[in-house]
Amino acid sequence: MLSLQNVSKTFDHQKAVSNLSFNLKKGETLGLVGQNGAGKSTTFKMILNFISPDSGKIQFNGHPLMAADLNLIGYMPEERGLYLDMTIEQQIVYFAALHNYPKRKTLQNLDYWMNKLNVKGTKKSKIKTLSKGNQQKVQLITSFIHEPQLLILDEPFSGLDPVNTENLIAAILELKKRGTTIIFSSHNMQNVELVSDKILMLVNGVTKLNGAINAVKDQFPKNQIYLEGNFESNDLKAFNGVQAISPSYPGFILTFATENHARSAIHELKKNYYDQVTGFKLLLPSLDSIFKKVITTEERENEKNNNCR
Amino acid sequence: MKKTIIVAKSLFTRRIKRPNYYWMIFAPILLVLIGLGCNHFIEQSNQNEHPRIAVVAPQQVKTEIIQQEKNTKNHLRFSQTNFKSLKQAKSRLNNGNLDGIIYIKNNQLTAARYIYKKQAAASENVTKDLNQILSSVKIQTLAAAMGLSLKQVEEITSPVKISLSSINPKQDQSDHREKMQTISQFVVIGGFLLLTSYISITGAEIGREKSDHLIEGVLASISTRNYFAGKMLGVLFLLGFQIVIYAGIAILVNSLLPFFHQKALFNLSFFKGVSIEYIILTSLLMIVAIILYILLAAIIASFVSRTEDISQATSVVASLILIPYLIGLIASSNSDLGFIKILSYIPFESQSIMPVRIATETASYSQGWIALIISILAMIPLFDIASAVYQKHIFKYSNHNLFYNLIH
Repeated sequence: MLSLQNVSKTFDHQKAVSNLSFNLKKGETLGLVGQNGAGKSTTFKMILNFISPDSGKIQFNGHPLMAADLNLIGYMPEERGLYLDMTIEQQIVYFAALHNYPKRKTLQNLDYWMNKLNVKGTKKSKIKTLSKGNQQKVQLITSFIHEPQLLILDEPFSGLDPVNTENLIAAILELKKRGTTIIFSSHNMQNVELVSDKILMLVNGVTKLNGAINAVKDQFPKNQIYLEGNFESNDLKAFNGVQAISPSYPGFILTFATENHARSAIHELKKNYYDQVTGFKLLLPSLDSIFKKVITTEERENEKNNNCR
Repeated sequence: MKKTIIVAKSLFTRRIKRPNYYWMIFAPILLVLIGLGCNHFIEQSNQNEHPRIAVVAPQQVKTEIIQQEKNTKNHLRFSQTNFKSLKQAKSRLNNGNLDGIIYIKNNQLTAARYIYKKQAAASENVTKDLNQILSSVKIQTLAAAMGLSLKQVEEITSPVKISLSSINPKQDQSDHREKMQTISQFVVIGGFLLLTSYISITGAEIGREKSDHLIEGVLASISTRNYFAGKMLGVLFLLGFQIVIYAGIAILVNSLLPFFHQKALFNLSFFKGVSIEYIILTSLLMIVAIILYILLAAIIASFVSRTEDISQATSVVASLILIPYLIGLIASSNSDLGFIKILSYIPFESQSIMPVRIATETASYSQGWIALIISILAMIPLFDIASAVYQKHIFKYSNHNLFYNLIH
């Protein structure tokens, strides 16, 4: 469906994206993560041909993007923008028409998605009368009303409250079930974990992580154990290498200095606390902790390089 | 093409729903109406300033004088009050209730006296009119005494009619040229107003979509070139609609004015003699110039990054229109200058200068059509340039102001 091979882009002698490569098949979802200025939006703009890459190849359905392909793509930019004087219906019908999507089907889909995303107001409400959150929902509907094959969402969760975030996650999962290929950027790792099959992390335009979520997690030490049983938190401090103990109903999460410490603790639990333990699990690292670890490592390396100079 | 039309239709329908579009259309008409109205009221008030004159004379003579005043065009207003004596009338004159008194003693029209207080009441026009009225009354009185019929009196007093036949037709042409010169000045001013409006619309359309970041969502569905073409076409739809409205108003006014004694306000015969070719050529030059200027406005608006830059973008192009506007006004009084001749063929300038040159007969219609063709030819590469600049800069944002972005 979508393939990027060794794509690079430089602005004013500064690499925005460097040798980026990934493939997305039909129905897959990719979460693009990274700090501000990491190159996420630049990547989206190159996919949409807003800007041309300096090198590398971008292909959609096996060929470079052509004008006709735009009918099969939906996009919600990071900077939100709507025609404030238009009604919701006018706005959606206009954008759907620009994707060659029939009006009758647009109106049917609009009813469905307004209800699904709980948009306050009617189809005849003017955009300028809507709250910021509802405007964002309208913009989101605009991006996929025409049932695109590929949906690109730049920071779709930003500015949404927890309830609306949940609605959006449900919408993305439904589109995914319908076979839409989705690529989105986010700073919220929990949301990325909830909806993505794959993750790609950019740091200063360079790919630091790329692959299926579990495969990426497997690359990092599993130094946490979830433990349930007849324990007091003080009893757990006795394990070698324990750094933190946090309650997680109905049990605890124990964080160890290394994966070896965690594995030794499991061994000990099996051997010495067999009667007290009702359940335990070696936890995969969270995307949040992986993100922080990659950024911290990168910052340390940069600092080291600067000191060497 | 289908998407281009969708974009154009969307722009058109959004804009025609806005009251400021109608203000743009009707403001010049309103200005003309206000101008004509003011002129009408000034004429009315001038009429009210005609001196109020009392006639103190035997009843028969007084009636004849007042009747004669009504029958002639003059600068006088006669009081209907019957004054018993000159003293009574003088008292009103002193109070300021009258401006003058015509006093005739014992039917002695030849010994009439005109008494006034202020010099303005005895201007040359007033005394001339008084003389004329009294002379007419005298002739009629004498004719009646001699037993002459009204027809005989008219025959004696009617002036000899001289049929004018000039061997030099240039005089007629000179009148026509003067008329065309006035019309060409209207063209220059009207063109300036039109151009300013459409530059402002284009600047706002292109600049606002970019500064509000609307453009990214839109251009994910249509190619930049097609979208740009759609925008330009939408602006032309607005222009077409404005022309249709003006044509409708012209037809309506033309058919309704005879019922409203239009001569009191307008004299449409002024426009008689303006050739259809002149109207068509001038209109086409103006339409092509609007296209050229909206393309220029689009180029500059592509560099806008912030909402506050939009007005700067439109004012840059609007200031450029001042050049042909001023040269057009200069040309209306001196259209034979070398640089004016050259500029009348140059796109962006010809729409203001060529109509003036044709009106003042320093350029022929063929030269006008050549200027039009040059402008049309300039339109094609300018569209390509504008489209390329738009494509290159529409996603570029900068924290600097517009002028910095234009230079760098």
